[in-house]
Amino acid sequence: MAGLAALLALAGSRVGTGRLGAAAAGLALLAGIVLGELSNRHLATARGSAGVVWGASYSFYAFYNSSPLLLRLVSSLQHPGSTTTEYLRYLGTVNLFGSFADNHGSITHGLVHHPGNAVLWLLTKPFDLPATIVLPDALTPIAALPLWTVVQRLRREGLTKGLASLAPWWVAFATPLLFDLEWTQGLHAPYLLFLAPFLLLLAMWGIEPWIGRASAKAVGKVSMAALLSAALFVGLAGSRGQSTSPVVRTATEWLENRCADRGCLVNALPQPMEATGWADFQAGAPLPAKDKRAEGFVFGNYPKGYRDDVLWSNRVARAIQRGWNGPILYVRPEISSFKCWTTDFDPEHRLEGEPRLDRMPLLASFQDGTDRVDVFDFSVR
Amino acid sequence: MPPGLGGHTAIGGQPAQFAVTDARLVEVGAMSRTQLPGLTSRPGEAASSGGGVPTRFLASIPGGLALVLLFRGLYLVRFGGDPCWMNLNFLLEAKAVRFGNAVELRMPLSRIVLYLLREAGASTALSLGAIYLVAHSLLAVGIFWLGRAVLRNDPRVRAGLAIVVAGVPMFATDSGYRNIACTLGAALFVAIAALLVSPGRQRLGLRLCAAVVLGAGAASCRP
Repeated sequence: MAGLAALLALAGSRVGTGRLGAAAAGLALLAGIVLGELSNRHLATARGSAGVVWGASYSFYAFYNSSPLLLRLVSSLQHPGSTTTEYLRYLGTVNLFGSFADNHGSITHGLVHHPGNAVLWLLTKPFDLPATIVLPDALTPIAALPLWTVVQRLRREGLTKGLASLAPWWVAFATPLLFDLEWTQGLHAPYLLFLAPFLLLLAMWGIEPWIGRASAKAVGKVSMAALLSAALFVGLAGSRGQSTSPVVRTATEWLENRCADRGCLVNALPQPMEATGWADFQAGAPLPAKDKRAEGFVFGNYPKGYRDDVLWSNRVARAIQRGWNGPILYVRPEISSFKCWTTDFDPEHRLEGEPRLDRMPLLASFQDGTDRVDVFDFSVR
Repeated sequence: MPPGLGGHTAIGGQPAQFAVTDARLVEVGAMSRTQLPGLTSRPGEAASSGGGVPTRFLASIPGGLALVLLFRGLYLVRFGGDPCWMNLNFLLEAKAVRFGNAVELRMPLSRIVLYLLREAGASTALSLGAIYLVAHSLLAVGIFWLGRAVLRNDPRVRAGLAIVVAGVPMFATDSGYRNIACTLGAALFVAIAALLVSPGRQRLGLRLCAAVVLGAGAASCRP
């Protein structure tokens, strides 16, 4: 947004709405930031400091876990498996630039104080962009063809004149292009969404002379083939991962109904259950705030208060002490159709402890294939 | 559609440049003179005459948008029951607002919209699906407008752009769904870029106001 405003101001009346547009973009940016801040401050006031994560380490974490693919390749050749998770990549970057504490939370400080590594990083990072563009869930390797036609057209029309004719697109997308070249996480297609329109438009600009000279019949056939193959691809391979299963959905619906009135105190649930059930599953003793991007969490140095507050036995005791007399449920998911926990991001699951369930009444059980979810009633103690 | 975005100019109000460009294509043998409408008649007139009814339909903004929504509907029918991992974070934020749980303070647009939809009784799939369809509509229309700012006024080119936007895996697979804040943010950004960089000054006030509103949304929507 800031880039769009600045470039519109520079281009003036030569592009679109010119300086008036620049002012509008600047005003919009300001309004968005103010609205965001107001909303966050309102929440923070309502919750108190224990109930919010300010995310001060967000940009630091985002930069540190987005190490260039070429550096990751070297690292994984030297130490296989060393770059497979965000936390491992973060730790790898700590070795290059120092920790959050070393740099007082400043990325610039880390880069300036490790100039050799900084140069290596900045020189290798741009290769992430083409590597991400050709992903099957991005623009696929087919993107090379229309982008080659762009080069051909620029050669025919002259580089300066060709690029100048694309001025509106440059004004719109120069900043996202720079951002994607030097910052964003490689091999993650959604982060390319801001730049993808530019790439598609550029591709169309490259092939429009060919469309112009092709027969209507040929264009029709190619279009139909493209539509059918795209539809087949979406239908057969449109989703790469899985974040839920029929059992998880059914068990969540059951919990949602059970806890609809006043909520329930439930142990730490897999995120697909906790996030999709619109009922309070932490009534009586909420889980503590978790800043999963803070360096302490990355290093596995969880604050003692956090460890104490996630313990299931402590939560039950705390809820009763506060007068909670609603349902207390223990959910035991055994899911093998997809990985419902992550080691890094779900520490509460590892740290909450396993209670004895042999004397607890089984309230409900859901099974489909190898997936199973059991719900035990802890209200009867 | 904002005024001045196609329909009466060949390439964003630069017909002379268009003619030079195509003349160069003749020189290098890429096109024959009979296929250069811009050199045999006024660019806008000749260029808009190409293509059959399906092509002209897809070349229009509503036609292109219909094709895009058809593909997004296909994705939702096939995979819409799975919220995807990144979206679970936004759903958690919305839920934290509703039930008073610990919340991560990020830019709030996604959580506010999800909160409103969930609180109104929409299911997870319906809430995400609604944002997904609105975001992709904005994204598609924004790309079509931006296309009209530079690409020639040829229905086959415009229909081609609609087909590409509808079917490219970047938008049509879960890349365009699994981080709904990214999709929404990109859509809002592209929409305001289209409003601000497209040629023409008619209805300028309306365009600027729309850009401020959409832009404020984009600026408060960080993944």
